[in-house]
Amino acid sequence: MTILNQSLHWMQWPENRLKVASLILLLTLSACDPFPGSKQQATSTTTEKTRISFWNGFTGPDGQTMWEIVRQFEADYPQYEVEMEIIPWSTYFDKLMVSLGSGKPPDVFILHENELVNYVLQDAIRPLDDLVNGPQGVPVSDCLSSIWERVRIKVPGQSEANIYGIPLDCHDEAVYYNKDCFRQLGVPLPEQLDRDNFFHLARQLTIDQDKDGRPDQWGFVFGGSVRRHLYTLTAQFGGQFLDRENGICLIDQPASQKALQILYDAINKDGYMPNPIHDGSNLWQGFLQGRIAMYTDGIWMMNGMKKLADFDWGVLPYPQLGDQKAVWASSHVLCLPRFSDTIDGEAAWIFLTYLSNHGVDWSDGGQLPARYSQLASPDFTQKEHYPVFAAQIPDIIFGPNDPNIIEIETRMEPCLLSAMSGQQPMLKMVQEIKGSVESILRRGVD
Amino acid sequence: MTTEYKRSKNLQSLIHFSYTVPYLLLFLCWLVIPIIAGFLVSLTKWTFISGKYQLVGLKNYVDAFADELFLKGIQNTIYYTVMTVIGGNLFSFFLAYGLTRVQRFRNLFRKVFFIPLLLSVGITGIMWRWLYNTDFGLLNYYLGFFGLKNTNWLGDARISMPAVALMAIWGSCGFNMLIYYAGIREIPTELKEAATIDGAGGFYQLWSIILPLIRPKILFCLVMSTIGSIQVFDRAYMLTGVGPYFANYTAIFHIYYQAFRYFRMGYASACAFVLALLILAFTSLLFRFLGKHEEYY
Repeated sequence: MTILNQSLHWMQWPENRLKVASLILLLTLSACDPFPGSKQQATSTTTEKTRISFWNGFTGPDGQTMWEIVRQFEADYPQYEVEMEIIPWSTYFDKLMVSLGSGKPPDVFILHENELVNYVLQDAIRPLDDLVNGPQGVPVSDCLSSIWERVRIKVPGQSEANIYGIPLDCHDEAVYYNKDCFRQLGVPLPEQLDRDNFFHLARQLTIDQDKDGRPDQWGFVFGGSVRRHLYTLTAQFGGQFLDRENGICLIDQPASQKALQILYDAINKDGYMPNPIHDGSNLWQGFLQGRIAMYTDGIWMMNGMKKLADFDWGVLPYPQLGDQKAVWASSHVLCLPRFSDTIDGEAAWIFLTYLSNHGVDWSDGGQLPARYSQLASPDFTQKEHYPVFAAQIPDIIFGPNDPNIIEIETRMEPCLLSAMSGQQPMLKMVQEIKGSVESILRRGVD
Repeated sequence: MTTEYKRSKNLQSLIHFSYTVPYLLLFLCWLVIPIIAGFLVSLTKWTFISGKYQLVGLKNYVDAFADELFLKGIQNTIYYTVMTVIGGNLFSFFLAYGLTRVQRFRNLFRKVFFIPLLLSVGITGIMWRWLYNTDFGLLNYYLGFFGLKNTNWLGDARISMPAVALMAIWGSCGFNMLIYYAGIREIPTELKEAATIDGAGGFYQLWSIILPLIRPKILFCLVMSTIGSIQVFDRAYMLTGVGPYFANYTAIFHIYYQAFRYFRMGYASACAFVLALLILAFTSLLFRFLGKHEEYY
C-alpha cells in the first residue's frame, strides 16, 4: 500500500509529469535522425577508391573463380574497389528487384539471358549501345552470335533493337559418364550417342543384380529440369515449344510429343532412368556413387567433377535422338541498371568489359567463354573435357524468349515432372500446360 | 467536479496516451500505411521498378478468382490449416495435460518440447528432408521394422502436404503447449478436488472442468495457429518447393511468385487481400464458436 500511495503521490506533482512527458517526447524525437546521409557522406569522403558493387548468384565453386578474377581486376586497376555480393539464386531476384525499384541497385549485376527481356520491359536495364560502340567497347563480331541475338532486344514503341547486356559465358549440357560402369560390363566407350546406340546402351548399363525389380545400377538420367530436355529434344525433332507471334504453345505438336515420349519411356517403359519423383534429390549423388552410368547435366558441374580424384569419368556430347542436332544452353549476362542514385557509369563499364575479356579465366568456374577468340585460345582448348561442350555451340538452342518465361516455366515444370514420372496422365498434363501457357501469353506483360 | 480536477484528469490522460505514441507511430508506419498502400496497389497494374502504374479497378480481384493456380493455392492452404490447427492443438494440449500429470522430469520435458520452436526453419527443413528421404530416411527405416515399404513422403502428391503439416506440428507444438500448460495449472485445485469427491473420473474432469476453464487459452491458440498456418510458406518452401504437381503450392507461394518473380505487384496485392479476408473469416468463425465470455470462478 505504501508503494502505491507513493506512486500516486508522485504523479500528482505537475512538474514531474511535465518532465516525464518531455522525456518521452525527447526519446521519440531522438529516434528520428534529421540528417540520415551525414554519416555516409563522412565515410565516402574519406575513401579514395571508387567502389563498384557487383551482384551475382555464384554460390558454388564458381564464386571462388569469380573472386579470383575480381581480385585480379583490383590489382590491375588499383583505383577501383569491387564489392562483390554473392546471393543464392533463390533470393537473388527478390533482392535485385527491390534494389532496382528503390534506385539503389548494384553497379553491375548478372541475369540469365532468358530473364533479360522481362527486366528490359520493366525499364530496369540500361541500353549499352553507346558503350559497346564507344572507344572502350566490346568487339561485337567476336561474341557468340546466337547469344548476342538474345541480348539485343526491341522494346515495343522503338524502331530498333538495343543491346541490354554483355554475355559473360555460355553453358550448355552434355553427358557425364562413369568409365568404370562401362568397363565392368565390357561395354566399349562410345564416341557419341545417337538413336542407333543410345537406347541399347542405356538398357545394357541398367543392372538389377538382386532381381528385386529395382535396378542397382541405372543406365542413364536426364538430369536437372525436365523442361531443358523438352526444349532440346523438341528442337532435335525439328519443332519448338512456343509460337510467340500467334500466342500458341506447341507442346501438343508431333515434335514435342516425340520428345515427351522419350522422357516418359526412359522411366516407365525402357526403365533405364530412376524416377526423379522418388529420387530427384539423390540422382547426382547416385551418379557420383557409381549407381548411374550416364548423367546429363550442364557444364557448370565440371567444377565439382574436377576435384574427384578417384572417380574415372568422361564427357560425351548430348545424345542426338531426333533428326537433327540440338542442345539447350543459356548464358550469364552482365547488365547495368537504368536507374541508379549511386552508379559510377565509367567504372562499372570498365569492370564489366574486364569480366567479359576474361572469359577463359571464368571458364574455370564451369562455363564456356562467350567469345570466339577465347574459345579458340590455347588456354581454353587445352582444357580437358571442355572442348566437348564447346563443340556443341553451333547446335545450341535457347529456351523461349518470352517476357513471361519464368512464370511459364514455373507453371509447367511440376506438370512435366508428374507426367514424366507417371503420376499424372501425360495427355492431361499436356493439355494443362498448353492451356496455362497460352493463357499467360494472352495476358502478356503486366 | 472542479475545473482544476478536470484539467488534471485531461493532463493525466494525455500523459498516459503519450506512452503509446512510439508504438502508435510504428503501428502507423509499418502496418496502417502499408495496408492502405497495398490496397491502392491492388487496384493498379504497377511496374514496381520504373514506378509506372495504371488504375485497373477491381480487375486484379476478378483475375485472382479466375486463376486456377491461386484457387489451388487457397485450397492447399485450407487443407494445411485444418491439419495443423486441429492436429497441432490437439497434440499440444495432450502434451500439456500429460505434463501436468507427471512429477518427474517435468521441466526437462517442457524444455525438450520447446526446443523445435527455437530452431530456424531452414535447419529443421533440411533435417526433415533427410528424415523423409525415400531411401536413406530414418522414418522409412523405422517403418521398415513393421514391414512397411519405403514411402515417398515428399514426392507423392497425396502425402507431401501432410508431411509438411507433420513437420509444422512438431515445430510449433512447444508454444501452444506452454499456453495450455499455464491454463491448466491456473485452474483452482479445489474444483478438481470437489469433482473427485463427487466421483468424477479423469475423462469427465477433462471434459467438464479443464476444457471449459481453459477456453480463452484454446481460443488464443486456435486463432494464432490459424493465422500462422494460413501464412505458411517457409516450411513448404524448404521441404519441397511447390511440391509434386503443386501439392504444396500455398496461397503465399502464389503471392510471392507473382510479386517478386513475375513483377505483378498489383495482382499480388489483390491476392494478399483475398488471403487476409480468408484469415478474417476463419478467425471470426473461431470467435463466434469459442469467444463467449463466461466466468466460472
